[in-house]
Amino acid sequence: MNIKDYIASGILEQYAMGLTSDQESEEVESYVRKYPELLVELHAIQDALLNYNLSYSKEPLHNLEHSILGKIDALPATPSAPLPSAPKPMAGADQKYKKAIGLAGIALLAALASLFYLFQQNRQTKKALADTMSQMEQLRSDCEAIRNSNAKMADYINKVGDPNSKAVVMKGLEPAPNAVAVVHWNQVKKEAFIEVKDLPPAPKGKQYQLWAIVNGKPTDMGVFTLQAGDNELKSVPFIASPQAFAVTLEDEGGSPVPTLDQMYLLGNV
Amino acid sequence: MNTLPGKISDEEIIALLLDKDKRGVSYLYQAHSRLIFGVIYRIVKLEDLAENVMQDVFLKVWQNIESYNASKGRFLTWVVNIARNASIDVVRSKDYRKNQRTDNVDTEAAHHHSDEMEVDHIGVKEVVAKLDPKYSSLINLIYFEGYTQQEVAEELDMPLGTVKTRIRKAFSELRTVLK
Repeated sequence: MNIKDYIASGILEQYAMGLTSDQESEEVESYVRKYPELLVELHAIQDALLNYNLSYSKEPLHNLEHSILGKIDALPATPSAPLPSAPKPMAGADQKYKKAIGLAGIALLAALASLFYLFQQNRQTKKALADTMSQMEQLRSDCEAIRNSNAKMADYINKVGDPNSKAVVMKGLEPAPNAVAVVHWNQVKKEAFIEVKDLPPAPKGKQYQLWAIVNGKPTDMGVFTLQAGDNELKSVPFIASPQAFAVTLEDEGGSPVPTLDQMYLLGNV
Repeated sequence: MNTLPGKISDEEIIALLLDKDKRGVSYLYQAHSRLIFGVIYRIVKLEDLAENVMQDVFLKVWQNIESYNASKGRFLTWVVNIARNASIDVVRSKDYRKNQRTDNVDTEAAHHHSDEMEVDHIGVKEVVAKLDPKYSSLINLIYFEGYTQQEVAEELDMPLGTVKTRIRKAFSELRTVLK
């Protein structure tokens, strides 16, 4: 049983107000015994109703305590009738039904019974349908999430798994010795991607910038906002013959020249 | 709801009642008579009749304590629901309805009067007042007037499902108001 759904069904509120049938009440109590969360919820609901009732508090005109104790003393020792779980139906209803029950009445009752049966069935079917719909909705959103993550993974494999793709691992320098990022570089397709494995988040107002070192000179390959754990590739400009790649921390938007003492990552091709 | 600080707890009252110790009745009366009587009076609307029902309710609690257990939730809710059922039974009896035809105007007035007075008196006016009237009237119809949900649905001309949803909303509203 799904506890959340059970709570959301409103049955506990119905139970607290005494609106459930004997059978429903027994079911509620058995679930409450089994699932402590339901008892907590039931208590909260009952407290709300008790607080509501408190608004109507009233002192009896006379103190009845003494009189009650006297009546208890006068009680016979025989056990009492069990408590009804709900108020009796309207008085007078009995006679009304008695009059109606002739032969025609019986036929009517039979018709009503089957109508009631169909009504119940219909209700159960509707409930089952609603349950199924909500399960469907859940499955649909799960499916959507899996589809997205699959597409990402396929894209990753497609790019990185290409035999012409070369991975240049950039290792962390002094500011973050544990940092790791990879430039996937494909000489044939003339494509390059950066992937961040481990890198501290850039401070506010700062961004990481990727550089290629060509003939000993840094070439701007743009800023990126990837974070560790993104499992994502970001396309970066392709540079024909780099000797190395490096990442520096720069002001937001990047810098025309690298700030060398803020170099976080470096990897030779 | 727990009993007031420094007072005897519901658990102790239950234990005494199970032991057939009449102090359980006394403590229950001392701790909760206003709440229980308030519910009865709100339903039967006549003070002396409410006092009779009140005594019957305490006898029922005394005689049926074995049928209470923790899986029913709060002990006090169990007691109050006995009071509610007994009161609605009285209101539906032929005697009551015969008398009510003549007393109708008086009791209606008394009842309005009491709603305002009592609520003011104990200072929890906010609880009912803060609640959207569409919710408080729904709770009152069902809990105090004894309407079935089906009857409410017909009365307010809305589907049964909407009535049930609205009851749940009423409670969640009530719980927010009480926070």
